[in-house]
Amino acid sequence: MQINIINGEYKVAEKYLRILETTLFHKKWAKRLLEVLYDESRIAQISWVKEKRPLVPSSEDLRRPNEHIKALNLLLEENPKNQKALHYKLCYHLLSKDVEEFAYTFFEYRDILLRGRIPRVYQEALVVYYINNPDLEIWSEIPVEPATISRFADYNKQFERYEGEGLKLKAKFEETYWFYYHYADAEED
Amino acid sequence: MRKLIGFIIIMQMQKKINVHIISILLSGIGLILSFGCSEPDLSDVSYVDQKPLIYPDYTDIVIPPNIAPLNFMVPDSIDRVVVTMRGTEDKMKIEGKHKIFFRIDRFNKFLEAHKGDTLWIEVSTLNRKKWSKYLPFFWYVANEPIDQWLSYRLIEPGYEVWNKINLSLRNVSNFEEKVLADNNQLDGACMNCHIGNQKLPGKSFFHLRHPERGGTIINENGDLRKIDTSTEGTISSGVYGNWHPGGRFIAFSTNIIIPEFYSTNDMRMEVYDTTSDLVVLDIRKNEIFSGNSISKPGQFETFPEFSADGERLFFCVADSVVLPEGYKSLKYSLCSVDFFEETRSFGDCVDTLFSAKKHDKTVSEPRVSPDGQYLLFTVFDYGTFPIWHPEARLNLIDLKNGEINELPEINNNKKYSNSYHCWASNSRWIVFASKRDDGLYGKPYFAYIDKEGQGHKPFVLPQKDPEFYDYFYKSFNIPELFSIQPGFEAEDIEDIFSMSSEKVTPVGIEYNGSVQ
Repeated sequence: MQINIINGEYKVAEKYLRILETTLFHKKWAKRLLEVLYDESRIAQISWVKEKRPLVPSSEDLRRPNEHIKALNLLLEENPKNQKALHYKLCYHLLSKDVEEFAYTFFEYRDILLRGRIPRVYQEALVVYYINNPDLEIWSEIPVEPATISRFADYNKQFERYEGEGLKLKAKFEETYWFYYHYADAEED
Repeated sequence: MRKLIGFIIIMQMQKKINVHIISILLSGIGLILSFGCSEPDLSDVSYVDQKPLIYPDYTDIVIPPNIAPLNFMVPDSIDRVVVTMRGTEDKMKIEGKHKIFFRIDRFNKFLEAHKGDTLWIEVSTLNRKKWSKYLPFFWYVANEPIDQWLSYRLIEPGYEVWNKINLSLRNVSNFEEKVLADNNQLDGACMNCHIGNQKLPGKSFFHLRHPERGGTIINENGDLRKIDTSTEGTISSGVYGNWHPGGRFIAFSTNIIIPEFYSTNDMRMEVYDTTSDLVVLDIRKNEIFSGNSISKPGQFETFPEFSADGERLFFCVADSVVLPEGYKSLKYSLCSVDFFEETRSFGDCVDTLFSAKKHDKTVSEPRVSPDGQYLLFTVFDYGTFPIWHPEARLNLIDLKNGEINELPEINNNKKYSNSYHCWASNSRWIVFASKRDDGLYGKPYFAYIDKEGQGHKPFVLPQKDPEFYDYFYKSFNIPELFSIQPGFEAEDIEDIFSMSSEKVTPVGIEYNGSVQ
């Protein structure tokens, strides 16, 4: 229903609000929205409408239902600061074990991403990419924490000691991207 | 003496009881009278110089004499509504809080008595102790009935996934509905396109889509067959199809269908074919055949429809374009070609009835009136799938002279699609799916097409509770009229679903879909 309002589909939103109007916990909220529903100027002032409408792509394109990366790229083209779309895209690559695409995306948006602390799982994936591409100039801009690097060294040591036997690594490294990369079954889309 | 006193006491008691009963009766009458008092007092009524705002909008429409009661409502802020339906023969008064419920038997009789006549509906409402009387609106009761049975698919208006879908059958003369096929009984199989044969009303078909047990269900007066129409010589199994009036052939499109979402929020979805051809299924021989003129390389042919005499095949055809890049230049023309039943072949000369190039539009879903006079089709800006195109409109071609009627009375909605239409067997009524109410939920709308080919204002399928559509979360897909009930039940479909499919043999069709 909120998506319908954001998209200006007020008739559909009204249908759902009429139901919510009869519920115990949402009736006041629904009544308030119904009062302003067709008043564009008042709808545009609602905080979540104000926040979401600028994120909707304005350039027309088509995408197939399973083209998730295209959908996220369209959102990022419209608003490169769309953090949710960016993190969804990065995580999609991580879940797909596509470390290369993850790194490309990370580097492309590094200005935005480096404004805060890099999430641990991103750092772990970047270390994996670094192993195969140590000579890139860009590494000087990417602050991977020493603790991550030393933990990665530990993971590798244990991996070799136990000859890749996942169960032995599980207790200590289950939460790491390296463990996911080696042992998780990523399903095909 | 004691007896006399006793008698007097009993008399007095009875009198008291009688008085009590009378007082109860009187209070009851008082109650009745007090309700009666809610009738508009003409000396204290405001006349409103407009027609009442009712839902569904049943104002000023042509209706079939056998339609179910057109129950309607006024805004729920109204305290009382009084409706008078006046005809030349009779009048009927109905009251309600804010909803009007007609009695089925009285409504049916009333309409039957006023065939070919106009009924005037007067609405008065009580709001904050003040009565208002609105300008009357009319129902013109046509002489011609509508086919009594309406089949449709009920499905959430999503795009890829569904929870529950079924094919249902509604009696349009009352409010009875039954399920013809339910995916809960069919291992979640998708089902679509339940299409009847207006000339042979006992015949119909629909598709069951399932990886192992799917097929096209052919219904001939309740005898069911399941046919796998896919062959190595065709693009796909049959998709959009229509009966030959003789009942032996069904023309199908075979398509690779691609659904894609729009990135912007003013359009939802585009569904297009990356390739398509036409084939004909011979259900007597279980063979599939085609023809050069209906499966040309470099062209997309789709939506076949036989003429009422069975001697021509109408279809939509577009020049192939690179997709998805060229989706806005994908435009289909409406064409026709001779069909020779005896030799199962097609003519070489393809006529164009509606040129996509000339009109800079695209067309889909040609449906010929059973009397052979008209062809109803959907016109929109581009593509092949109209339901998500808000500009999609129904047009009518007079097959005698090729004149096109844009049916402004039927396309009276400002936006949202009108599509998936079907004729009644007497060629005077159509039903179509329209998203006009909210842009998302398709509903069946009926409209009258008079003998001159003029359309009249459509009205939605009536429901027992006029509020029904507000609380219903499924779309009505592909409404199809039947003059008799399709002779099967959901259990029959469950039975045939478990059986293996009959196979078909392609005749004269190469592997790549082109004709030898």
